[in-house]
Amino acid sequence: MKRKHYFNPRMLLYDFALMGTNAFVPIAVILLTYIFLYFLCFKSQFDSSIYLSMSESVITFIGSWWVFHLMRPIVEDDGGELYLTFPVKRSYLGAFRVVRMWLIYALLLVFYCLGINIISGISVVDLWVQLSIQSMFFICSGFLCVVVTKSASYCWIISAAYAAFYLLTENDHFKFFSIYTLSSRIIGAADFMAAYGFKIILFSIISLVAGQLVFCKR
Amino acid sequence: MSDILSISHLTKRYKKLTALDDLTIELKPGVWGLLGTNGAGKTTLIRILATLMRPDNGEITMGSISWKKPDDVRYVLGYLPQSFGMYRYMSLYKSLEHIAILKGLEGDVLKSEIERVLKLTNLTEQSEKKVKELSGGMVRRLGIAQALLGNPKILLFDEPTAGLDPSERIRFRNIISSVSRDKTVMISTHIVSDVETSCDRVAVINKGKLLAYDSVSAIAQKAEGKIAEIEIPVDRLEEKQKELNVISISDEENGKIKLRYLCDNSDVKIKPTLEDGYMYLTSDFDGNM
Repeated sequence: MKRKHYFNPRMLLYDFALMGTNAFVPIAVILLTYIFLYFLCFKSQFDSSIYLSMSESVITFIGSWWVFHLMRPIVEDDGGELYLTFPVKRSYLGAFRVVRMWLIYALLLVFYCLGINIISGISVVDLWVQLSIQSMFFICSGFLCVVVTKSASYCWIISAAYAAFYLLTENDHFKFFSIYTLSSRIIGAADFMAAYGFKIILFSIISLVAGQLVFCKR
Repeated sequence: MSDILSISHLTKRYKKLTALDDLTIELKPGVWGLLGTNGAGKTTLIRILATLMRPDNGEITMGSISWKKPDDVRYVLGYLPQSFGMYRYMSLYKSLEHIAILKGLEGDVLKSEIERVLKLTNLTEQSEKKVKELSGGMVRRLGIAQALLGNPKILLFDEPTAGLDPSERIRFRNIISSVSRDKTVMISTHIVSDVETSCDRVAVINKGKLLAYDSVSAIAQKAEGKIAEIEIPVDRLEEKQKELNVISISDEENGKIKLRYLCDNSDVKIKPTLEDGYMYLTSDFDGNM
């Protein structure tokens, strides 16, 4: 069995090409968020907690956009079942590509965190650990959501509803299921991992495995 | 390796509905038309053959390849789904390249295969166009092109001519006849004329059961002596339709139309067509079910 497509860089390019303009949305949102924060930092009496709240609410959530549009050709588009007739493992079409998307998104977050560090002095490592793990949750749960609902639009609504619920209620209800720290200052990477990180990683792995099982049953 | 696609005692149930009922058939290389009414089980059979679904019972083999190992089957399979709406944002060439890589092709073979299928489907000049810019017929041809990539031994086409204009349907038939050598091609459709013109052999299924499989002429012959024609005034059409097992109605001429229908025993010798044979097999007429 040939498995050369797994690490063929052209396959990654095709994944993005298949998304069309949707491939640029997370990059554009990250860029716009940074520009907004950059200009905001010149404002007098500027509250630095906005860096964290903006990053937590926007940057983590938008990571799932890629996964919705990565899976859409298979689960939603007419004739998407065709992909399942190719000699390609479903673990490649599903979990492998999702994890690869998260790695690319985490790489993108390195640049964002470096930018935030320049304007606010927030530790790059601390911020990156927090944002990349939180975005992992959205990416993995987005995968589960898209294979269950077979609709990128529904997934977008579900993810937005989850984020809105915890951000608007400030973690008052069902706190255990929240991935948000809603802290006004950065928590160190080690403290974040102890308080939130392992729980979020567990949620992400459960979502990824469950999503893959549902996808394999198609 | 044996080239015979052997389907043995295939059964598939959806809760209470039996979509395929103990279906057994041996498909020799050639172009097979899979005929049946809507809900007959055609799509279920095609989806099982395409490894998209597992049967509840039965087995499918082709030489040493067993459908119990879908990964092995996928290397010898080309499939065109009923609708093909992917790759909107990509060029035709890039779409084929993507599929070729997924099919395990690489290097020079990949390039030559893409060029071959583009030529076969007459899409070479459109290869740099984006898929969303192509007409419905061209997208269908792209679907056929991707199925042909890698020169698979089994080709499955699910309702391939649905929504195509007459010229594209003729083009489709020509492509099929040019690529079908040494391959088992199965075309699932309910358009009898497509089967009559493109296929060597026909399998007729109804309510999940295989009613017959044979050459086009042999299936047509099943209705020998069971076809009659009658000329009636147009205003009696409704009444006659209730009375007779009408197969086809001719165009109106001088206020009259000709009905072709199934009957017990016809005195007039009319050469049956595939449509007659198919209707004879699938209708409740004369207890044939």
